[in-house]
Amino acid sequence: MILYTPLEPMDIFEHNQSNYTKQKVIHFDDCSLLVDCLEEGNYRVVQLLSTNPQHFLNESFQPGKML
Amino acid sequence: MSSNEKTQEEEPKQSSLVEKIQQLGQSNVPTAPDSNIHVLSIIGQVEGHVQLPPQNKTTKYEHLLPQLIAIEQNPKIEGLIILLNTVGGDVEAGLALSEMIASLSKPTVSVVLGGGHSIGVPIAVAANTSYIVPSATMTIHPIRLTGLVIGVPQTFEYLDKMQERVIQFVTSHSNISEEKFKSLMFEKGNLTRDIGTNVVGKDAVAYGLIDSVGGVKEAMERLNELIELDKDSKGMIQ
Repeated sequence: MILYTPLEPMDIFEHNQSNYTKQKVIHFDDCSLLVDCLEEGNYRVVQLLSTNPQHFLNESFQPGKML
Repeated sequence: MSSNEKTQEEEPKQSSLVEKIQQLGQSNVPTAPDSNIHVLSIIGQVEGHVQLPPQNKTTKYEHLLPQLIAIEQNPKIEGLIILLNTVGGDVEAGLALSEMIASLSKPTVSVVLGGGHSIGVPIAVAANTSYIVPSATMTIHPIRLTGLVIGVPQTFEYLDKMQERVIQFVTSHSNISEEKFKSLMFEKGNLTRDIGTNVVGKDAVAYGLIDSVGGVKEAMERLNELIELDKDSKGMIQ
């Protein structure tokens, strides 16, 4: 299928609702973290939401780490 | 034999520490002193009223607004540095962030890295001093709308007013004149088949949009300078 349209792919294809529910923001150690919810009930860090540069030095908040 | 006794002597010490950890849930770990400068990174798309699918890298304005209030409120935070690498996004979310940054009482410095396009422009100029690295670019173009439009003339009026708000904000927070900014915005022939201009590092400074060319070192030096000035002026009032 070739599309020739000025529309965004998002406007044409129905996107999977589960993609939205997979990620959530949790509070951990005074920080907000954007995490992926994994099947086993674990969280995988996607992004650290903080303005404190010291929080970014904390190894447990590195993207990809499991919580 | 004597070494054995020694280890036995040491054991109670260790176990008391273990007990302490069990009781209080923590031991005192030496930590680096809290930074007096906080960092606000605006990356990917500025996400506003519509939640984008997770494959998009976004900066959600509802996350940043409370952080900006916390920065204003926390007496330990003396300055804010804003790092921008954004492709633009929601106009009203971007303007909300810009107004919040511009109305902070604490010194702010912004650095445009990579790209500060579209709505990244007002966010960059909102800081007290703005920097751009030589390789960074800022695309200035008219506001656009994708999706279904109901009531074309009304929407056109609304978009025109929205664009005016962006122009007003940028011209009142930077040294660029309204005429110059508008001419860059409606310039033809710079973006292959689109109107607008892609302004690179030094040009952004030459147009008066950004204060100077510089990276982390310049930004930190300027921020520390602003913090000292801020302290002096507060000291004089008291």
